[in-house]
Amino acid sequence: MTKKKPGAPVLSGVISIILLYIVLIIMILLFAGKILSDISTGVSLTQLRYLGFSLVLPIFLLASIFINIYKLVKQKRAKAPGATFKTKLLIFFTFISLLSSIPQGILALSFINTAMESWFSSGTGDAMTGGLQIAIDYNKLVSSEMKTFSSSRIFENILGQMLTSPDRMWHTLKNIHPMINSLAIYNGKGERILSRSDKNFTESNLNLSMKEGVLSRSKQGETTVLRIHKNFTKNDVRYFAVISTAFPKNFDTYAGNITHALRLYTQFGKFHSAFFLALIFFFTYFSLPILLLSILTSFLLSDEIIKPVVHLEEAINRVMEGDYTHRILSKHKDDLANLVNSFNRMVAELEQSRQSLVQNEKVSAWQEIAQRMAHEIKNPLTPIKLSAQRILKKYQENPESIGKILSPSVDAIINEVENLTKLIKQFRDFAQMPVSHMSKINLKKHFEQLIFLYSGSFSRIEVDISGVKDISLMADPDQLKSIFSNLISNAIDSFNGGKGKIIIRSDEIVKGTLNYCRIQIMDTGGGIRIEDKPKIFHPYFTTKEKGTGLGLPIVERIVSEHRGQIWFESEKGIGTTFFIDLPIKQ
Amino acid sequence: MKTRQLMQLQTFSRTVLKKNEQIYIIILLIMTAVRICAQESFASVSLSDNRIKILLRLTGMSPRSILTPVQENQTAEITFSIRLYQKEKESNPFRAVLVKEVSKIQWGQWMPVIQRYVVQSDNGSVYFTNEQTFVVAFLSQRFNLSFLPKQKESYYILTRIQLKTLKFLPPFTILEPFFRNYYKTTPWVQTELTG
Repeated sequence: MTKKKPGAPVLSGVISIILLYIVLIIMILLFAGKILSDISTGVSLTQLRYLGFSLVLPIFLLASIFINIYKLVKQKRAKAPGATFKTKLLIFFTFISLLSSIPQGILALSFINTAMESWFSSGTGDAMTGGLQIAIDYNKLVSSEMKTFSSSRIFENILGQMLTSPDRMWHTLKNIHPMINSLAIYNGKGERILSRSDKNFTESNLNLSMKEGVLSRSKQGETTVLRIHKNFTKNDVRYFAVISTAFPKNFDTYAGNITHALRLYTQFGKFHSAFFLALIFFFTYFSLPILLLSILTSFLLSDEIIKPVVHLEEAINRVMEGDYTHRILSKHKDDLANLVNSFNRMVAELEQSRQSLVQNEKVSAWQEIAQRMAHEIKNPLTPIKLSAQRILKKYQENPESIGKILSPSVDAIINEVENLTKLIKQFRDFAQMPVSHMSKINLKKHFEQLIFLYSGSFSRIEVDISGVKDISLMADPDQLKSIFSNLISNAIDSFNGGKGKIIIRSDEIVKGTLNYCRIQIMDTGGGIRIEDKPKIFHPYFTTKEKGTGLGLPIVERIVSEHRGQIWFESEKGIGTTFFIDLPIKQ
Repeated sequence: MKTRQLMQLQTFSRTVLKKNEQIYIIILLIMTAVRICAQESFASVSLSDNRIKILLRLTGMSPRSILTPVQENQTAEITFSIRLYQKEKESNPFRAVLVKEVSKIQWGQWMPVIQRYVVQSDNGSVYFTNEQTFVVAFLSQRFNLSFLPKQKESYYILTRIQLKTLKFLPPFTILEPFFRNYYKTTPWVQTELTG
């Protein structure tokens, strides 16, 4: 009994997939993490130089999938068991993978896009542009005011009070131009002689390189200060006045922030579509290996799922080929295991029934053989008995004239005894088939030799062996010769001495997992009567006058010994075709 | 003129950019990594009083290629890199020892509030009203390095300039690999260091 284990261990495959998955996830986490970190911090995407390197794994996965697909296509072409089922499972698994990953991707990208769209809406842009414009206008206003005031006669007049009442001068200045926050006056040497401020400004010594009427901008802590310088003369002494105004606290910082935000907004407007495509690219780049891995996993899973089915199909083929000893082992405790157990029970019962049937057939066959034998033996016994009785009667009635009948009677007895001897010899040949001696036979050459032997005996019959292919098979050459001789003889007999044609051809075919050689022997003879068709392989059944009825049973037995099958198709008046399938390898 | 630029900037995202989207998509799909070789780095190197003075300048650039993105309220970035090598002895003329490596980055921007161009670096900000002066200042950088050369040793300097006419801001830095036309890098140029 041959027992098949439930598939090769898939542990190594599972471990490989798990390891690949871990490597993939680590790679993605590290690489994507670094890229996301670079993106968020604004650093150049230096890690992209490894982009090519990280393509190795997807390429490897893709190659593995292609190899598996190629194998599957080959299996499908060879009509291997389970190939179609596996294809359907793979399509199903791939479809499921895509079904889950594509909507996820679309959803994630849509979320990002929607979030960005809402964040960078035209309202935000208008607000930022408006804010920036306010800052620009304010800056322009202050600068313009400072320039206008510093060059005005009023300012000169106020500065005239410098020596007499400096505090009054400061108050007047503040009343006229409240925007001014400090005043400093320097002598010709650049030494500060007067300073007033409503804010805690630290006025440094005069920068003599400063040009009159030109604004200078400086930072005092978080405050931006705008200064302007004016020269004036009092009592023929030259002085320099510097007035300052302070912008609101953090004015420059806030204006800078608005500018930066607007810069970002501009980039969004400019590269929005490109950014979205880049997101799709990176998302695909990182999710593709996972998708490929899931497809590769589906190959492994499909193999595992279809294995019991494949084993079952193989086992059914073996049973169909006549091997009732085949059993499937199942370690699992699932529905398929129940199916396998049922199959095993069914085959066991089938084997038992078959054995019983064979036994019954044997008994019936032997009963029939015994009847036929009795009939065949009884037939010659009658003439023998009659001849013997005639000799005895003659001897009792007229012994002198016994010589007249002695010779023909004894000849008849001897003739019938010889027939009996011949009959027993044929029976012995049928009952005791010689041991087969298998050797490699070239079918074409075999037929050529066989037809050569017959060539002289049937001049009116055309034999066409052009359809016999150059196939080699393992068989007993003598027994094979016996098969074909019997069938060709029967074909010749079917012409009843008339004209006819015998066509012999051979083909290589696949049945289940085995390769067979199918031989067809067609004749254009009288055909077999419908009522004779079920009996032609029965021993001692013959339609010929001098037939023994053992030819076709011997042929069937030889074919069976070679683990082959024989059957026929016949139409009365058209002809008969015998089909013989013999395994190429025994 | 500056007011006009600002007006352009205000309407940029709503009008002009939408027309350009298709062009940028095409650019993205082509994904060409353009390395313009017309630009060269000019280096003036001198060694005196144990100090190396280097003036690095990117030449061959059209001022418009800097000014256009800057006037569109974008930032340009330039990186000046120098490497000082000590030449190996005759036994191995192909190898050299790296003695010093310095890089300086500066950014060029238009400041709409004060209506000036600015060149920012680690040393601070310098403001410009004149476009040409701004471009020249942005594309130039001075190095002043203390260096005590060994006797009977010879040295050379490699210089390189990397320019980003448009610096992407996060999260748009993801686009960097696809818009190489904004990036220009000169090859390393070797200059012998002589006292």
